[in-house]
Amino acid sequence: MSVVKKKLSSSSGISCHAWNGAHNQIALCPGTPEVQVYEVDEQSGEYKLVGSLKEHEQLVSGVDWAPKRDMIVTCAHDRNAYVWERNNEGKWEPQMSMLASTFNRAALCVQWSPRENKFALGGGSRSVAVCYYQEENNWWLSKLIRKKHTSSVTCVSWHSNNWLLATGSSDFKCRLFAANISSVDADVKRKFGELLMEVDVAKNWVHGITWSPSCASLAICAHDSCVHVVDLEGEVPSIDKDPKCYTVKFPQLPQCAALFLDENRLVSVGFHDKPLLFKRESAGTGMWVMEGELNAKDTQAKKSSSKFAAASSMFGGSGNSGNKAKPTYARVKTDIKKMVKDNQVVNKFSVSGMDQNLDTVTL
Amino acid sequence: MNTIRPYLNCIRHTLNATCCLMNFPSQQIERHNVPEVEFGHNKELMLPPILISRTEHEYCLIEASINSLRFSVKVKQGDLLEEILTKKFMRFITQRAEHFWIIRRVAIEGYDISLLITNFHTEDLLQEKIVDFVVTFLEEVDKEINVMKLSVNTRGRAVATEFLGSMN
Repeated sequence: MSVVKKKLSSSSGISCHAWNGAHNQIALCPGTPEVQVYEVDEQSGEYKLVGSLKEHEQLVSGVDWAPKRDMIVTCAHDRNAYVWERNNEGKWEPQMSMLASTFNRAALCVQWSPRENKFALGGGSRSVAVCYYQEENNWWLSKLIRKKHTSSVTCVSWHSNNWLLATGSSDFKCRLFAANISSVDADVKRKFGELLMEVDVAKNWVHGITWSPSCASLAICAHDSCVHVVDLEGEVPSIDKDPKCYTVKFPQLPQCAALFLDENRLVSVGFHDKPLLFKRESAGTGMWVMEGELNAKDTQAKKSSSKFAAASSMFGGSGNSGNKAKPTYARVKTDIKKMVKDNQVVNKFSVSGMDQNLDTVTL
Repeated sequence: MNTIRPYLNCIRHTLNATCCLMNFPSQQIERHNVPEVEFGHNKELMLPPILISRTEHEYCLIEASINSLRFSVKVKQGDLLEEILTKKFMRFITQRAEHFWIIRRVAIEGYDISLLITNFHTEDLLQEKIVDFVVTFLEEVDKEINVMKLSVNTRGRAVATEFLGSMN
């Protein structure tokens, strides 16, 4: 495994990031109300600032890039969300987004649906807004899933069928909803906001959830230092059935976000200084176990690390008495995104966090 | 000095594990971001408090929440002199709280000094260094009070000798 670190924020950590469809442009928030768009030169690996999205007033907490339609959605602690599109000159411009007045707390997470015709927004108002485009008025309208969560919605993730939505919340639970909008998904006959499943395996706040490529399993990262994997086995979930769930406990600090490499392998990042790798004991079905930490090869890590990283690791090494065994100091990593096309085994992904760096990891 | 080591090690490990804080805006007040541990509006955002005690009179309390952590210490006070010394020393420190960044201006009830660590501290500073600081701080307070107690006693004895010597 090799890691390339790139310092893209000067003051505080990177709160979120998203790649475009070709993975040569990245939108990221350097801990400010502004979102920056960088273009990555594939040969030199240099990042060039090509745009900046300024409309929010507080920290941007979520960003997602629709690969096919080439639109960016951002949400922030100022309880707003904006959809950005390129105008004729190639500049990013915000579109109006009407959030229901009951979505009245900070927005925490956002994700485009797989068909890119709607997005889900979770937030501190204990509700999820599903937003869709209304052509007559040229704006984005929202429909709320209310009174189902008893605490903030910290993460959302769409099933590939475009109507099933998974949410994780700081009330320790993970839920599945029918999030079909009649004007967008005419073929789905479900009641909007219907609670299809409630997974109560996490013993603490849920930080991140993610679907496997085939959407047969759902991984949950929680603050209880466990990764839980729920197996749906291709069935449409129903509230009456108890899902099959595997829990992997580990001695490291809690994990915040996870990414499936393929159906049987999972990588997660969080408060621990290195990414953790999980896999199924036997491919197909079976228990999940922790494979270990992902360690960078020494030579490559040295070559790629910047002068600043070298200097800071020197300071780290000469640290105070007591914990000399742990010379690497790390800050929490909050976001992990894949850098390969859909339906491919993930061998390249990017990690961002509070240490101001964007790490691109190649396995 | 050596006997305080296991106590401090325990505090170090517990703090390292509980100091996993993240940015979390308020669920109560729109556009605000407050330390949940101070307000306690949301029970689900708090972790169970942890009490670590070395003796009956020397203990600390760690209260953690999703975006902040409060650490309160009760320093050993065996006799009246130690009590006065602790009070004066802690007053000296809390008056300069802004220079220490994480020290709370007022200790919570029943404790001598409180520290408030928020996610903004762990983002700006290295988490391990904060924990190092807390442990060194406790160590220094213990040492400092012992030294002060000794010097007060020595001084008292010297004054008494001088005073009684002049009686002769």
